Amino acid sequence: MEVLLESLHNLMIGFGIALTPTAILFVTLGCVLGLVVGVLPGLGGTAGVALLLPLSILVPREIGIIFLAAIYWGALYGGVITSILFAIPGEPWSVALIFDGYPMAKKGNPGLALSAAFFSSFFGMIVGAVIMVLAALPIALFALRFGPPEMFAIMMLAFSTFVGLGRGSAWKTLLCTAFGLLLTTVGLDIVTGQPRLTFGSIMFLSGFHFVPVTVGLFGLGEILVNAEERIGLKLEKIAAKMGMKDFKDGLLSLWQRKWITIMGTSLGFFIGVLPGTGATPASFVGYGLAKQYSSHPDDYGEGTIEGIIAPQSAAQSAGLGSILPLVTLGIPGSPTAAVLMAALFMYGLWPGPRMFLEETEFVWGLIASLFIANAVCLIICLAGAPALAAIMRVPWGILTPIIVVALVMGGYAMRNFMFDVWQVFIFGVLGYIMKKLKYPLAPLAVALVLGAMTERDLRQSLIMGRGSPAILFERPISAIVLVIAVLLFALPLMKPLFAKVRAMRQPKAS
Amino acid sequence: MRIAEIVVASLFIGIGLVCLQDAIRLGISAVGTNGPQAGFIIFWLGVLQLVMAAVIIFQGVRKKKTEESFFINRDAMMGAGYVALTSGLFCLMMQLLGTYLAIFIYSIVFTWWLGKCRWFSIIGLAVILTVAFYYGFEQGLMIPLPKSPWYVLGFPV
Repeated sequence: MEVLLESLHNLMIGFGIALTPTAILFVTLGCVLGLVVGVLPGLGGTAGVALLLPLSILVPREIGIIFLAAIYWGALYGGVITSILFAIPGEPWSVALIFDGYPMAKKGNPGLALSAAFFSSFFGMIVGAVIMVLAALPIALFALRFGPPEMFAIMMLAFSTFVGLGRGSAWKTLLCTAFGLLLTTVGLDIVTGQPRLTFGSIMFLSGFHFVPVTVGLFGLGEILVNAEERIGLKLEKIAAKMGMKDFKDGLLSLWQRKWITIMGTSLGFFIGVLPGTGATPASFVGYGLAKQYSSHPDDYGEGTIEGIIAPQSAAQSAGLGSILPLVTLGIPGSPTAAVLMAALFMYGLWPGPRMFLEETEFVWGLIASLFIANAVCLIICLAGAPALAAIMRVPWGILTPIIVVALVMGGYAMRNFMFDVWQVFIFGVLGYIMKKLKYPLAPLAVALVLGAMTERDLRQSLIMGRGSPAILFERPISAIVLVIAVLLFALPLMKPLFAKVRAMRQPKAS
Repeated sequence: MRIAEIVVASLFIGIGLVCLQDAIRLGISAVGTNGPQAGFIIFWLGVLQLVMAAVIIFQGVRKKKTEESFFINRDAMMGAGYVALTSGLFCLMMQLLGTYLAIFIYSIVFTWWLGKCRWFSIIGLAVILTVAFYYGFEQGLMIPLPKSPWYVLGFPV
């Protein structure tokens, strides 16, 4: 009870920050930029936040983080518009929306489809924010007991979830994690000060910075993927008009399907907290479960409203869930959360339980801003969906050079370093190739952010254990977490065995 | 697609080998005077990368030849290739000619060559983009961007 009261008290302090005119202005600005980024297929939420990271230094850090987070929330909303109206997902987490949103729009109900999706997002985010308020402080208080071995174990858990729970090849996931961690070792050694992997070059001494690498991988890489398909693309003309009737019907449909919304939201939040997952799988799981337990599964894919509510509430809630481990443990739950974590480092903060408890105004200002950003996004979406949809009509040949220049400048502005410009280009091409070959980029981004912390915690643990890794298994919390991590790492190897056992049982049963 | 898989994984093997070489130079022992030596982490990460890349190559070699290719068709390849080429040229121009000239030239080349835009869009975008970035970065955010070699001789950017 005491913890709950303290959380509510801190939330009030947070609202004191988030409700200042400057904060509201930057939340609105962030939401608008996020919506634009979400609508544009060539620029994802991760690259959008990374791109505007350098600009957030120009305002007080409390406002800067609220601004960056608002871009993320805006991007989560923005993907809805293009998915429903044009069947083009602005963001990967909006793909599941196409299944029913687009057929519904084609049937002549775009307004209802959009309003149902927007209200699902709103509900998903409000419930997620409430869970965050209730859960964050107890988690942070528990995590205060963690030393280097426990923190190292948590990092391993974060990496293992990508391997165990991620889709696609586990080998590629592990390779991307190792590559991301290796990139963070370039430069001066944190303990001895020796140059590592620099090969005598001054350029490499400063190491690879997170922002140009992320902007390249997620921004330029996506532009190149889009370049394959975008030339000559023709959009169908579906009007994005919404009236009061659509708002009312959207809200009513959400109320009538409240259990689907609650299921999608709570499931999405839980999935979002796990580092290997995020909003995209949450939206598919939400859609899949809603279909599986529906009384009319055959209607799915034909334009049913449940097919819009379930994935959207799950995706929005998962996006928010990915912030919970970031602020309480210093572990980002998604690539975009990893970029937000890079911003925290930039502000001179060390994300984790100590930051959560000591930087009350900063952290709770961010949490309080979730409620405000959500309301702002909903209002902008309901009022400005036609204008946002019009962005898609800007010709590809005009939009692409603007985005490419912005990406390169965003990469450069972080350190005013020409090497970073080349990093954007090289990682852009690499990101494109890796995407084509289905290498997962999320573990690479998370490894880039967590690399220095992982190395520090491992080295401190080994110093504590006089060089023996046994210390990691001698302390109960780290031992339990590491065992779970090992099991998750081994899960892809065990999957074929499970399949064989299942196959052997089936003939017996039949 | 199979060849691309093998080539990319080989690239990671190359990077892994380079890392191993530097790690051995730095020392890979877990017990040094200040704890683990500077190359300890790099060595094990390099080993992990090598093993994973080797598995991917092995899988690639064993994979049957399929119709699936890296690019959907020739147009797709050219689309991505041209955008990558112009982006690379933009970075090069930024280094050689400074930011603003690079933005101006890149914007014109892209909208004319790949965008197939009309002349007023081409000129309009080039001017607006250059001016917007100049006022946004140089004047608004006070972030100095690289200038042309002629800047010292009195050229404005």
